[in-house]
Amino acid sequence: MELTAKSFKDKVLASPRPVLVEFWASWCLPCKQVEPTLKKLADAYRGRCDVYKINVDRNPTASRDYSIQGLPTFATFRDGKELERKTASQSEEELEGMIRRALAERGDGVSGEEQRIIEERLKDLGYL
Amino acid sequence: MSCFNANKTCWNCPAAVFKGNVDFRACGQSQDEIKAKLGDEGQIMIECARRPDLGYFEPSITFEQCPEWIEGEYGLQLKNMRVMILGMDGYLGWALALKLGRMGFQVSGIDNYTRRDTVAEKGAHTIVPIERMTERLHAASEIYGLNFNYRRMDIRERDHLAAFLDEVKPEAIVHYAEIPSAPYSMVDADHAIEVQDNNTLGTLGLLWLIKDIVPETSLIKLGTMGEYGAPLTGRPLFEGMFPADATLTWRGREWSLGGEITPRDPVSFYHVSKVQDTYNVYESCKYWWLRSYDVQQGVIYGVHTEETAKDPRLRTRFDIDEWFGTVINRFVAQAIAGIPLTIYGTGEQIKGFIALEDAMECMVRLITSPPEPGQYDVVNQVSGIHKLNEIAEIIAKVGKKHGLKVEIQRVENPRVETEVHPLEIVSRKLPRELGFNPTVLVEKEIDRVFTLLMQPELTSRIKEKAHTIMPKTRWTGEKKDSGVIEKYKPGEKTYGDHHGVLDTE
Ligand SMILES: NC(=O)c1ccc[n+]([C@@H]2O[C@H](COP(=O)([O-])OP(=O)(O)OC[C@H]3O[C@@H](n4cnc5c(N)ncnc54)[C@H](O)[C@@H]3O)[C@@H](O)[C@H]2O)c1
Repeated sequence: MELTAKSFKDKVLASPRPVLVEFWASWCLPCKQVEPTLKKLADAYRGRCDVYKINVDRNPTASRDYSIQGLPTFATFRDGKELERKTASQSEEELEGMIRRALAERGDGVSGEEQRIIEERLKDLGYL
Repeated sequence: MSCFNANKTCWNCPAAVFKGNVDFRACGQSQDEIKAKLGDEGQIMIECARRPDLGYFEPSITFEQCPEWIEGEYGLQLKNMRVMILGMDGYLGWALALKLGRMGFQVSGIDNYTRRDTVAEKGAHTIVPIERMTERLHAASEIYGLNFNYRRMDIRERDHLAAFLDEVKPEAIVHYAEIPSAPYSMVDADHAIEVQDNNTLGTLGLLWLIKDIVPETSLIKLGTMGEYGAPLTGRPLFEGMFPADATLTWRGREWSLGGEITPRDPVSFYHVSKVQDTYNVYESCKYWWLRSYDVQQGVIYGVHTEETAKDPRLRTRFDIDEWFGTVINRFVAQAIAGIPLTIYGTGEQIKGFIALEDAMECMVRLITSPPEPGQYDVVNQVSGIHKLNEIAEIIAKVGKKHGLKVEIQRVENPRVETEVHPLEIVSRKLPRELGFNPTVLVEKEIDRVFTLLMQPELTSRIKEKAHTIMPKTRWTGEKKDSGVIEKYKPGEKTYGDHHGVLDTE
């Protein structure tokens, strides 16, 4: 799950799948607490959406390139572009929502009623 | 099967010294500074303080791969790891020094004997006689071949402590050196101020010294379960911070509380000093990339560790007076002296406990599994929870086996505390992440205490100081005997049916 500034390019920007990334640091208490949730989501969405972490202190270029202003920052990426970003502790539902929105935009993994709700949300967010 | 700390890496190792491109605030306000400073490759490198010949490398070697980490009694341990114990002459400090020494750690320590002095101030003494430190050191060397690097020192003497830290360069520091008594902190203004000065300012000064002299060291700082209090809502006492799935809802809106420090509700000015420590330690991890475990320890009981039982000269202290005795230790002594066990108030108070030997194992596991630089972590160190009246019943039962007729008495509670309350303690990190499994049954340890204390010379030491047992120090500031509310025989009374919960899963 742990990325470096080098592997960020391959695993996130060049990924064929949507990706959720957490920017974290060891001194950030919410970052530590969210670990089990991230592992759970990584398992639940295996093969559909990858979940990674990158430490901003250990990889300051990543922090600079993405102008990280607070921790934890969660961001979804698709086709090398950042899709959505949230800063501060998030509940599992909110993180899962980010993943589902990233998937929905590809028409992947959800269907029917769920798809309609997600599309509405995406419109609200200005993505569609 | 690989052990609990096998996959930790250089990031956790106090021998790793960071080189180059280290920025303590690589987000937020220092963006512009980083931009100015960084090239394109911002990789952090380390040098191994134990193997400088390796040059600079990426900190990715696991403990299992590293030849400096070798197999020990509980998982891997850093070869000859240098551990400094602050408060080494104390109840826990001495037992830990012996255990670490026997396990191959290089132990150093300090103490200013404030515990000996304050117990003497009360007119009390340790029931298990202890030698002067010179004799203790001599015995440790004779029996186990140990060579502790010990100095008499107050942690607030910062010049002296600085020199000692610089000489030893400890890779872990166990900080026990505080005045650990709630009643002592409630005697009067002088005592309250002395406790907060000693504990809070002592710790604050220590943090600055660590930052300047040994920033890589792993600080294992003792807090107490009493920092949390006992919230009447029954909300679980999490390990320091709220978990990620805890939320706050208010007026139809919702926020994640994940990672926020949980509210503290300390129960004396001593406990307040520990809460202040908690914030000082947390902040210094955040500001300076120090690393620390803040150990919210339950009430300790018992006398036994393999090493302290080896020779009478190696025993650790054991106090029973109203100021320094902890509840189980006090009750056993009372049972032996023929004093009805002194339950404060209803006796329905629920507390978290852990036996001395189990607590020492936890400490070794924490020492051998350092947090990452910058990481402030909290563990609840508790192996069982009991109501005070239940503890009294257990002690009466074990006492009976030793031929003692034990009575119980409820006395007016000198403290200001909630006497009937729910309690749910979360203690998952030690069992789930640090491989700890309690091995000491409460009855077994109580039995060992009876066996030791019923030796005639120890029993007479209890009787000699029987007058220090009944509480006189009230939270109101008055000095007054606590009146007896009722006296009864074990098994005679039915107790409230609420019970605490210990969540280890
Ligand atoms: N025993 C328990 O039940 C219990 C429970 C929870 C937390 N704790 C904590 O664990 C730690 C150790 O407890 P203990 O029971 O061994 O107490 P203790 O009093 O026996 O040990 C503390 C030692 O530190 C020394 N000390 C105190 N202030 C000092 C200073 N300024 N400079 C140098 N040395 C100093 C004392 O002389 C003593 O020898 C304490 O911080 C205490 O608050 C203890």
